[in-house]
Amino acid sequence: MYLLIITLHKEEHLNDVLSCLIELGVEDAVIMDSESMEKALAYKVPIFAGLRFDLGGKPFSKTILATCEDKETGKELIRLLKEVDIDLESPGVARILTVKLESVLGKPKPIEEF
Amino acid sequence: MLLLGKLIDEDLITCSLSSKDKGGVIEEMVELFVKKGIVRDKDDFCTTVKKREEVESTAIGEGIAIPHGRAKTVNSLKVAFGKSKQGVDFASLDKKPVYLIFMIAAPIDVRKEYLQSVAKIARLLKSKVMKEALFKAETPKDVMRLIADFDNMVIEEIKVKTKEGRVVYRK
Repeated sequence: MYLLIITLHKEEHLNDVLSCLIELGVEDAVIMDSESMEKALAYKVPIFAGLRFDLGGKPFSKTILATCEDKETGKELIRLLKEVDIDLESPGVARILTVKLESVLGKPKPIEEF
Repeated sequence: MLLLGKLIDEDLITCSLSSKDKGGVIEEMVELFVKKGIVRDKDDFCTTVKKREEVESTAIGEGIAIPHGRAKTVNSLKVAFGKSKQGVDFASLDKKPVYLIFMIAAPIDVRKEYLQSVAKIARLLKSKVMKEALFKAETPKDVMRLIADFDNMVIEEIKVKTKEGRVVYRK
């Protein structure tokens, strides 16, 4: 089993990312509010305030944590989204990390749509 | 990976919905499932779909709705497609009439594939090219061809089995 970590800097893609994860059979994701190092520096460390000139939009991002069976899930996610013109591989859009897990405890509650 | 072409048949498609309201469209499309033997009890499944609509409209905007439901009286996971020429008020998020409707019917115990089919259709309709082509489609054959095109984007990429034995789709 793998841990999928998706840091999404373009929050407007969150719905599409979650929907594609469902399509890929990933259902136990948690979503956290987060911010990039660059944005934290720009807004919280006065000496780096000059970085704000290069930053657009809100200084936040979303981090999605999920377990998956297949280490290719991240690549699959990128491919599915490219089909609808969302490129997670463009600079500054997202980072996707896949980490092999040694142990997973607990069971997720299945998502029940009406 | 779930393929839409396996969930939809030509006789589950109508390009000329006659109903002018949401309830009528739901009943008209459920009737397609009944005729095909997918849904055993029309009233029961209509109630399920309508109850789901009461939670929040499945009309996602830009003339599209994806009503769906799971019920004991559904035999297998299937998708129907309907097109309304005059447009229907579906209480859409953007308040615009709905022209393209994908309805998903699933047995009560089919959970994961049901969710995946909702997500897949939502992604199909996110594609501008596909959406425009569906708006132009005039016959069930046209619709089937478009869905096959969408599925083929995936089929061409079936290459690999992972260590765990799952088939993944890669470029």
